[in-house]
Amino acid sequence: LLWEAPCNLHPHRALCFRDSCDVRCRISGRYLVQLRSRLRSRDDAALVDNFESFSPKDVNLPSAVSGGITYTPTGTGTNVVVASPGYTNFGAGVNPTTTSILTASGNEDFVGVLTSPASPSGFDVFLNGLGPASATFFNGATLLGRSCSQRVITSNSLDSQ
Amino acid sequence: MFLPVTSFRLDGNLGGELNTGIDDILLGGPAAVPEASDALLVGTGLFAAARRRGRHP
Repeated sequence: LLWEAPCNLHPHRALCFRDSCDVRCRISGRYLVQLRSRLRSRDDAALVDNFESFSPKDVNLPSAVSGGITYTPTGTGTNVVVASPGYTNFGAGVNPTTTSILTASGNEDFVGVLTSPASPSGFDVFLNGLGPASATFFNGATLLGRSCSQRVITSNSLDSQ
Repeated sequence: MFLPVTSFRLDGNLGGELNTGIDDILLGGPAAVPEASDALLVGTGLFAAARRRGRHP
């Protein structure tokens, strides 16, 4: 375990850098843009999937493969689904959604297995404000890092802030 | 040496009432590339071993 801490402010992005994993808190829009820039440039990460080209959307699936990652329900999760833009049943501040989002019908408990190991890794997390959600990173069975948060994040607005 | 990510997990909460989810997956390259200093150490060790074997055939 390299890094673990609760995040009770304004979380946005689950990150796993080469030396640490965490969910960065939203301190200001500018701070988040800097974090995204850091992940993309200094650590040579690239956007590999935004689910816009995924098919079929809006269908409950037992698993899904997208962008070299296989998503499978775990725990209480029973399906995964890529939701098209326009949904209004997400957390406050993001409705109607303006981007495709990997989610589920029911609780969103799923694991994503990478075809090829990668570092760093990260993704936007849409929260619902109803309780903590956690993102956990692994190397095999080894826990690399985990964070949780409770606030809804309007990730779509970050780049313009 | 750091360990690259091979998988991640999202554990939501009350997603049946309001959805949670993920978007914009960012990944780096296949990690675990040895540092230059590590390669130098290995090279030095191999060179020393070769010299030692040369002295005592």
